[in-house]
Amino acid sequence: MEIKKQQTGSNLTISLVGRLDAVTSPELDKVVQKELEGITDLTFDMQELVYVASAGLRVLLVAQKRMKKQGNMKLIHVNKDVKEVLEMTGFIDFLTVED
Amino acid sequence: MPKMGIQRQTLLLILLCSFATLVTVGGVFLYGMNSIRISSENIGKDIGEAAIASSSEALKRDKQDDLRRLLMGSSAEIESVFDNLAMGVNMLANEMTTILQNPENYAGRRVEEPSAANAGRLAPQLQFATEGARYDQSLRRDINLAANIQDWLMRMRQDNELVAGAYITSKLGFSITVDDRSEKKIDQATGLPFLAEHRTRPWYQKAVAEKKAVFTDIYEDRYGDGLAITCAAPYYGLDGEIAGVVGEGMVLKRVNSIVLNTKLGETGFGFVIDKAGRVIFSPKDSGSLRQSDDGKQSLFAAEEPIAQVARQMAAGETGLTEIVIDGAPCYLAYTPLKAMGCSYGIVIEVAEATQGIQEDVQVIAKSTDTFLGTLDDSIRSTLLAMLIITLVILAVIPFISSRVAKSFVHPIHLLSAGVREIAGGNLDKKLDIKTGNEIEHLAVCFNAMTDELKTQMANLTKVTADKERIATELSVATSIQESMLPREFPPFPGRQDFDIYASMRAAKEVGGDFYDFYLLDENHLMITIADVSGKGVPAALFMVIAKTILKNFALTMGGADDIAPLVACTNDQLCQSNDAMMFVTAFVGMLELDTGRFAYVNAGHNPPLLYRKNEARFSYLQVKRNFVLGGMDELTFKGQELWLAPGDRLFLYTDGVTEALNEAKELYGEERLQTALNEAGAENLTLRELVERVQNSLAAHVKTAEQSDDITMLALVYNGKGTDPKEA
Repeated sequence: MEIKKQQTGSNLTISLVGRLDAVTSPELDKVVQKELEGITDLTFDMQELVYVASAGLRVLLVAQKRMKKQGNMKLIHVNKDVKEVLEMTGFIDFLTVED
Repeated sequence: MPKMGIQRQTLLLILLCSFATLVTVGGVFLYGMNSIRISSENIGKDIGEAAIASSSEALKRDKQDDLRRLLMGSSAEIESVFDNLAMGVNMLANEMTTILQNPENYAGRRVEEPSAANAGRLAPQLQFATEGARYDQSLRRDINLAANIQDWLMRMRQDNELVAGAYITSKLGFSITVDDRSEKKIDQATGLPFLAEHRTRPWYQKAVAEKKAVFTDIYEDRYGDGLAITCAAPYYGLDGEIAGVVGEGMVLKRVNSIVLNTKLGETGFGFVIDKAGRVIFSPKDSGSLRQSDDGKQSLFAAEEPIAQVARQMAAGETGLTEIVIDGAPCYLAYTPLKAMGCSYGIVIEVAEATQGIQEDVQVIAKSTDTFLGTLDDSIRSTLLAMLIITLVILAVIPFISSRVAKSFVHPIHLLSAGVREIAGGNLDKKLDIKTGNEIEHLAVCFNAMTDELKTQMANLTKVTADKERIATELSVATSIQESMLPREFPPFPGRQDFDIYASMRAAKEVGGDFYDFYLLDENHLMITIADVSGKGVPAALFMVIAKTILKNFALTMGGADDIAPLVACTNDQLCQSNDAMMFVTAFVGMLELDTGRFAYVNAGHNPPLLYRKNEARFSYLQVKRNFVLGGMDELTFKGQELWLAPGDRLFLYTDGVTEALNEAKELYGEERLQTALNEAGAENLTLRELVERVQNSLAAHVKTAEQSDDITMLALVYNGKGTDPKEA
């Protein structure tokens, strides 16, 4: 998986490419754990994310909890497959998903 | 030992270097020597040529000067013979004139006619030109006066042995002669002396005509003494007129001997030709310049360059010319002999004239050769020395190179022995090499490497031990986890109203998936299937917590209506002290065995498939959406329920099934799962067989791709009475 970061002031956009599964989640986990200092608006661009596993959802949950304290977090360009997972797991009710 | 050890390489290297040096030095030496040799040869040749060029002309000139000098000397000698003769003749003429002009001073003397008694003796002889004169008594007085000359005549003849005879001839018709041939003047037949008419002779005529001393042409001596010449001079009487002629005949023996004795080197010789071009004196008896045998052969008739020169000589010219005579190039110098009316020539071959030059050149060539010989000798001896040096070097090099190589190789052997020992496992071995070069450095590096290796090995041992411990622990954990899941099937052998089969295959040693089922009482069966986020030990730990909490709360549950609060409580409990932010998706259901009522909550889990016996097919349950467990607390969960009829089945699974990937990264997917279940023909299969069919289908899809997630399946069949209130 590829993680592209683009920061403008306190706005950080993380573009995810490929599969966010048990193997690749630790990478994103590291980013979320270490690089959200002072970020008020976090955006996950999931245009090119083809799959998300439960381990990936956990990282999104961690990010969501963190951002709840210091600003906003949203997911954009979520494709159908990923959206299905978000719906099935109920994550869609707790995450801000925009087109 | 390697094929090409350092020892051999060193030997080869030293040999190569030595040879290269020898060949280079030898080559340069030989080249230099050869250059010197060629230069020397050329210098020798040049000196020779220069010597020829410089000395040739000088030598030729010298030789020609010699030739001229000799010619002049010889001709002067010849001329002096004639000068002497002329002087004597003039003296006689003067004396005769004195006698005739001063008759009063002289008494009459007697002189006799030739007498046989005087044969062979010098004697004055009176001869008459005519019979008349002999008997003319009037002449007696004149004869007796003239006879006073006889002592002079005697002396002339005695003084000069070449003088054959000295005589006077009076115009009056008598002659007085002094010679030793008296007998030849007597007629043997009559015993009377011959008449001798001298006044018609050329010498008489010429002397009278020229009034001075003259020489006749050369003639053959009348008495066989070879060539002769006569010198004559007139004398005068009282009247001052010519009264007669005095003469001396001279044989040319002396001239001949001078000519014959003219020698120059080996080939030089003199010759005399007369006005007619005849060779009158020559030491040669063959060739162009041989002495004329019969006095008739003239050089004027000889081949051209010779004839030309002969004409010039006959004309009285003096000169020096180079001319080919009888095939040999010669120098010919010539000058006239005026008295004789001849020309005197000296010839020498050019080759001899330049012989000295050739000798010089030969000397130079010889010394050049000698030098070259010396040079060759020194080249040879140097080459020999080089050869010897080469042999010595060849003999010595193996020893030297062996010693040099040993000094190189020894520490390397030490090193390799030490390294072998280290390789053999003795990491405490320390290499102690003090060569002060790279090998010592290498040894130091080896020691450092050994130390590092020791540390690494210690670390590795520790890490390996740790790993083994972890592996052991994991394997224990696996068995613990496995033992936490019900694994004996059928689990409730006594119950005919339902059956359950489940399987879990973890992707790692321990998994995050779990299933569970247990009877709360005789009539209530709990089933759970769950998937903890992530995998491995953290997921397994969280799974244990989730499973325990869920079971604990379930055991306190009152009935089917309590399923949603049960899940909510479990969620709240899981959220506490969940710093790792783990969560679990779960499908929790409770079956009332007597009625077939099945109450359930789907907490973010994959929707199960329901098999309706009357439809004979599996279809996905339309589950209500709930959030996962452990993600967020104080949530309410929406419960659902359905009624199972006898023969109906439920198939529960985790996303490890639907999200299994093949090598092309394609998901197995819900559609394939549903198809696999329906094609299996659930009616005639046991639950185990059904699960195995799905596993086979899954394996066919995945093939060799690695399992990335835990794969868990649970199948339930209801065989109770099933009293659905809606149907009832």
